[in-house]
Amino acid sequence: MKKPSQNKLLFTLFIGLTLIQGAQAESIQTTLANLRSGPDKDSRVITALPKNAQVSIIQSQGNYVQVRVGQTGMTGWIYSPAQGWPVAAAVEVAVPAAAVANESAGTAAVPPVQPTQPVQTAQSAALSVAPPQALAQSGYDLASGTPVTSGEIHLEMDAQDAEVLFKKDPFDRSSFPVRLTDGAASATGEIAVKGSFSRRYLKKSLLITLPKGQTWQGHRRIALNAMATDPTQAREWLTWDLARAMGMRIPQTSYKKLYLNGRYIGLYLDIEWMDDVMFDRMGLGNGEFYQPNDSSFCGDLMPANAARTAFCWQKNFPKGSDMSALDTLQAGLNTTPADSFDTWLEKHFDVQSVIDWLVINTLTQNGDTYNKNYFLHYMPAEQKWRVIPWDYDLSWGRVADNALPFPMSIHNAYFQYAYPPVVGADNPIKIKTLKNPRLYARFQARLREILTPGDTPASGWYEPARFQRRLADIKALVAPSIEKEAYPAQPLGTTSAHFDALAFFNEWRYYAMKGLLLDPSPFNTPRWRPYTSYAPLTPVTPESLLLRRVQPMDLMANEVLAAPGKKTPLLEKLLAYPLAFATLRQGEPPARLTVETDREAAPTLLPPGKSAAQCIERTWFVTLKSAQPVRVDLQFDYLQESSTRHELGSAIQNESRLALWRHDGTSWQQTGASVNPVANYFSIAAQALEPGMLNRYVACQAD
Amino acid sequence: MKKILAPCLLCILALPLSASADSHMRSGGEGFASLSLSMDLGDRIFDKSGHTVSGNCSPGQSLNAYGEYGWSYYTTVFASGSLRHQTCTSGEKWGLDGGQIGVARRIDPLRNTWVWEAALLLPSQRFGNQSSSHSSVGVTVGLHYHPRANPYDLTLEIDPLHPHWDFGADIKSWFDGSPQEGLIYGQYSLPLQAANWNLGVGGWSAAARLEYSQSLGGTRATTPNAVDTQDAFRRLDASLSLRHAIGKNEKLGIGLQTSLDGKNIEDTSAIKISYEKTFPK
Repeated sequence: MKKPSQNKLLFTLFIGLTLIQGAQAESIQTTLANLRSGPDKDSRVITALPKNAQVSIIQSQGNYVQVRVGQTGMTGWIYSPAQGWPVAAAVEVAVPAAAVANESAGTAAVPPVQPTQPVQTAQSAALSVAPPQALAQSGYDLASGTPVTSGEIHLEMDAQDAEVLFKKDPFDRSSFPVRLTDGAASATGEIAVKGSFSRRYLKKSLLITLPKGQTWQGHRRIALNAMATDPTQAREWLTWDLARAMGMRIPQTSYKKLYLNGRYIGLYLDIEWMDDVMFDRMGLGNGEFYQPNDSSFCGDLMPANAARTAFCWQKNFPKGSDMSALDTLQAGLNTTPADSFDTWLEKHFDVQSVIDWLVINTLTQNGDTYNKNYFLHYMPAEQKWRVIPWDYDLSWGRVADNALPFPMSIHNAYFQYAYPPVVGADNPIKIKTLKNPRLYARFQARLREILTPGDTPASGWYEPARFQRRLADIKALVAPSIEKEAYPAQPLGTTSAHFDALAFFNEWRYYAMKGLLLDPSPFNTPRWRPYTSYAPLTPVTPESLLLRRVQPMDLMANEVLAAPGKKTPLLEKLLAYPLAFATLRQGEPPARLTVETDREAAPTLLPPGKSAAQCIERTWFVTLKSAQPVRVDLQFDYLQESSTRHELGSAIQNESRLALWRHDGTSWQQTGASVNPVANYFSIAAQALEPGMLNRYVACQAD
Repeated sequence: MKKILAPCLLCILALPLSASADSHMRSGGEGFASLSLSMDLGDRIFDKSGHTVSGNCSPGQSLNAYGEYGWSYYTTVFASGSLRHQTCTSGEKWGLDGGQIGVARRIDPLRNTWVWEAALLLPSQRFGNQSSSHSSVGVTVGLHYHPRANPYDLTLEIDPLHPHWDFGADIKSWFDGSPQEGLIYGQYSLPLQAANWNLGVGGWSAAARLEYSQSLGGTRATTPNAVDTQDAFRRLDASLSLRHAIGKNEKLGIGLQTSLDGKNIEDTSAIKISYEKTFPK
């Protein structure tokens, strides 16, 4: 008997097999898993192993391990994906007996289950997500999530091909011979650039395709995302990590350091190719798999596009032009009233996949979806659909600026964070789910889980303290890599400024989402729901896209600084709009602070020698309402979300040279504030505040 | 894709004729095909003094096929052929009228700027040495230049209506001793309207081309009384074309071509309609 290596045991963990602590290494327990007659996906499913079935490992072959079931002595093979895959999503789900019979008869296997979620229906209760203890035992830190690690991939190519691959014309779709190895295994195939808009970046996303019949770590196609449009290279990883923690059925992802002919290229996200192998791993069968056409921007399932299915969508598999299932779906989506949408959705969808998709898009403020960048998977036997999210490079505060021509529309340092929970194009799945009270309650409950501590892997994932620990881990991996990258992008600010912006985004959005969705306040109403699709100020025309969009508004927030050292957000309550952070440094708590802003309007009072054009079009007013003087750290933010909506005076040349002035009622003084020109905020340490005194702050370009 | 295109190329090769590649390199695995109908608008000849005189044929018609295939990133193969119909004093003729099969290679491996090409010129089976036809096999070599902006300057917008120039030079030689022929061209392409398929709008583009050809020796006998067979021929042609995208990978086109000047050669003018289709990888 071949003794399995420690690594192999770790793989096994990754597919959801759980080591029994203290037991022999070969003895393991399973979650739900298909037991197959051979070490490949085409082998017959003998049975479905129940959760916690005790098995012992006999041997491994390729991506499968042969096991003996403890109680019956039955032997068979269980799918084991590549080593290094994160844990939470890597679960093969058992096929129910009826489906096994169907599969044996040559029909598609049918998954019976959905991911475990805190808000469950009877149907969604029998789920396949690795339980928390299994996640913890397998390296998933419940406090900090998946460890931030990276493997390596080494490619070998002809020297000229290697240069051409990255530097050729962006939209050339040629492929080149390549050999890849991770040190343990190797394969030869063809490599090509993948992606659409990101092709304009020198650091290319890559797709390696192996000849038919060959696989590498279980897959014939290896997709490596360059993350070139994201200056932190963290957004995709963070999103998939959250999805994993939520137990979503998603492709497996991991960071990989890519070397080409021994030269370091950069950090990549190795993302599982969505094909029959992935669906087999998930135990979902193949079914039908659809994707909105990336360049058509109309995969929104709205009535206006109901007759354009073939134009708006592509059918990834099975190959063919029959999209009748999608047509039927669109008809149902658009004829079902919102009030009864929960019943319709339960019948036709894996509801949790819909809820989780909306929750993830909300927390990441991802609007670059709903009409593209998502997948629909149809399981004909169950007649149910599932949503699989995709593409989160324009999220977490990063946005496309449609008033700018490509590629500046993508390659920009604009930053948005203060928008209503759900942004992006209309889509009946989104609109009706949020309008339906029962589905909205599930959406709300799922958000609550992720925003607050608890005992599930997703609990408290979004809490700023936990998020910032994880972000620090990612930065430790990414920042040194960016400095060594072979094909760096034209910079949009420092890496540190971008990481700070990510942390800033999480912090504000955390408080804003709590305020808008969860906190019991008179303002926590569905008032934001009309804005689920953010309406442009004017009808979108080529001319309107170029117009400066200004919404002058005076906002005010009051907060009590209850304890020294505690960073306190000051939000405008009605809109949950962020104004400032304050941290008490000296003085007796509690200290009551009022911050008011005149937004998107030139300051009426300017520091000496400054013109309005040199200044940020915002004035901050800070008043200490309590009796004793204090010193506080303050953080003020300003608006620069696009080329048409920002607060930059027309003469500001370099945001890094902005300085903050304070007027204490008698004179102006320049503060020692630092500016983050990506996140658009100023930080000032230990500002002395006297009771009742109005302090006016204005930011202008330094001399 | 290779499986699909190979029969297509064979079909094209079965229709020999004169059409020249633009040496726009294809992605490896990408194909392109066009089919056009060309109708002569007259039958005139530039005589040995450069004056135009009547020819001895009626205006002809040609059905032209052209195809390109990206054999690899570095190599694009192309082929063309045509079927021609014309009535002359010697009688009515129709049949295959030459063609070419060739290869284009990148000179600059990173950009689609400098390209050389070489092609085998296939003989006309029905038109012998009449008009522009040749009864002999020949070869052609060419150098083409397509200046483009640096695509990796992310501060440069991709203007879908950005015009561009293309230039090229070719030399043709035939194995039967016919005089060699040199050709240079410049083409200005101007997108008029960007496609927006989400709105069902196809793009429009226009192109203007000047092409000068000259023999590098004597001339060929076309109408002996009008031309000096001991003297070189030359001709300056101009053409205008308009293309409209009817699908993401399909275009319809219409073009006008006319000779502006020449000596010892046909004075041609024709109208052409075309259908083009790209087969993405």
